[in-house]
Amino acid sequence: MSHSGASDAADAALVSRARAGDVEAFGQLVERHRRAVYRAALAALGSAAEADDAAQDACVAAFQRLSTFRGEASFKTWLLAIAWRCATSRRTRLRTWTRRLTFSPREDEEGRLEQVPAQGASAEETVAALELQRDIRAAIGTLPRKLRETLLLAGSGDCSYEEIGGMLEIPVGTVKWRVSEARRRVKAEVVRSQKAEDGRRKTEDGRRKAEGGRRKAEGGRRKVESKSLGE
Amino acid sequence: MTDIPRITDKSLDEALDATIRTMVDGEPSPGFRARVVARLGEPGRRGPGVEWITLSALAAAIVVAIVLWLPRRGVHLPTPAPRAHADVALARPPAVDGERRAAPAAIRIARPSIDGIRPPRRPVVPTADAPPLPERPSVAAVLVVRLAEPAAIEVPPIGADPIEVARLTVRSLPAPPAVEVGAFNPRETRE
Repeated sequence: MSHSGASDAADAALVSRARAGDVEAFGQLVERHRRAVYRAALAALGSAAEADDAAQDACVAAFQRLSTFRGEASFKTWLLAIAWRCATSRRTRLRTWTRRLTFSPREDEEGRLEQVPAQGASAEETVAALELQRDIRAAIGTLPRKLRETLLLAGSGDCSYEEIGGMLEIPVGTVKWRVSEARRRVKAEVVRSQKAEDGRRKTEDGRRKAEGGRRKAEGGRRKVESKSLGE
Repeated sequence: MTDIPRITDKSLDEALDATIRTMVDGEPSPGFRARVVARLGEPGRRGPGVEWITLSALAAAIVVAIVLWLPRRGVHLPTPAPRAHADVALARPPAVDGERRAAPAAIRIARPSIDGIRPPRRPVVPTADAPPLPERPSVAAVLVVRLAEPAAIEVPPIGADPIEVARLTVRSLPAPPAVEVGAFNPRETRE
């Protein structure tokens, strides 16, 4: 039996006990899937605090609707679908999602950004890596909502394409296409912004060179003038 | 000049994966399971939209009850007065050379009362503080349109005389004159 199959069997046993009113069994289910539920909510909401609340709501709602779980999909897929609906409805209710989806660096993310560059990297490489991350974040923020959400769900590493398809109620092929298209668009946008940055730096360097040449010429002219005055 | 290292596709992919991980990385707060389990015993909370639905249904029911209750109490809402008759008086200021042109006078619209229902009083159009116009009827053009007062409409009694229909005769139409059509020669037309 594969790992996924064993996990599903364990989930099924816990679900049976939870249906019989065993709260502790449901607590074990929550423990097994809390990270995936939380990250799915985070992908939708973009806020750690709101994702935590939405994940709690999803787990409570799942317990209340446990009788409707028919076992056609895995419990995790079913739970993630509930979590996604809870998170998206919460996002709509709060009316703050437009601000959240820009994914402006949060307080805890600022620290994460600085951890990414490899150890032993030079200062210039570190700066370049941070700039690249900022460009990538900005490019992800400009994606259409469907592409962005699918990309984030797939990138979290907690959900398979099948589970994402179950959450978003779309075929697996659509999930794959959205992820591929989102990655293509992000990379194209990053390359474009990097080229623009290169051009800006070249212009700045040229301007500095011209300024240096002008100062040199000015210095030479003053020397000639002082010599002529001395004679 | 600073030499910018060119980004390879592979490095960009890696950077993209790393960035996405940082965006959705994280763990639920400590005590997550305990909080969920503690909430399981609570009675099911109603959604936030339930209150609105209830209030809307209640408001609609109240409106329907009022609408159904009013006619039984004999309350008749006044019908709006027809706009059939009006007295319109337009006064044009005189256009006299060398004299300051006065502001247009007020337009008065008077509506007669019909069936004892007093028409709603409308605010009088504010007039400019113009000086009184000199009485020069040769220059001033005053137009007064006075429509007739509403008169009672008299409807004659409907007669019950039988309708007489003249005898119908059918005549044959005269034969149309013969039309002769010559042969068409396009060359003649060109020439």
